[in-house]
Amino acid sequence: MAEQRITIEIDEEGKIIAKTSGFKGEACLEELQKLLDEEISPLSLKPTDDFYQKDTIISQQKQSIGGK
Amino acid sequence: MSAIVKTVTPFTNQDLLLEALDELGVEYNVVGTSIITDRKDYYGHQSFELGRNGAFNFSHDSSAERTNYPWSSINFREWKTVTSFLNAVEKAYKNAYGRMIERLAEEERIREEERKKQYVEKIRNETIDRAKGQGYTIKESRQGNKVKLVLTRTVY
Repeated sequence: MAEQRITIEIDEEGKIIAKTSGFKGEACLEELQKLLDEEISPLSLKPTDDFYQKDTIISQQKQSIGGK
Repeated sequence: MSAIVKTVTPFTNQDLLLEALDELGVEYNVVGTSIITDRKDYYGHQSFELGRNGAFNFSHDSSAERTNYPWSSINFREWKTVTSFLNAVEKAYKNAYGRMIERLAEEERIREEERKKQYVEKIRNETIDRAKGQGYTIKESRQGNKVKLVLTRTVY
């Protein structure tokens, strides 16, 4: 059981800063894409340590598919 | 004989012209497309008449341009000649124009602020709707016009 947290700050100009935690790898970007307007284009991305960790669930699924 | 003729700024905006006359303390009546001032010469009240050129032109006794105008000159005050009066009106008209530009800029600034507020609210509402759909719990806080959303969910 793990907590996923996304903090979204929208300033008075409409600029957005989003910070994620509890996600592994690029899942955080996919999650943000689901939450935010598709037309919003990110200006910068600063990965955290979690970003470089592989999502264990995804890798486990891939292994099981490969094993069949 | 040579001459240099210089005209005043065309008074194309009635509101600005009236504002200018107010600034100078000139009394007037607006009758149709005429602005009848309290300045009076031999032929009666001097007035601004809307011409075919789209500007208000000053109508007056041509002799009223002379500083030693021989006829009754009521309410001429410090502007003894038509030229000096029109110069004063022109200056006040330009001031009124400047104020109008400032007002318009301020109105546009307010409209832009409103557009930004609406944009922020739209992003906020859409994000909250999507987050609810994704099973997040939402905590919201605001600081002025800034919005902070903390979305949390537990995964197994």
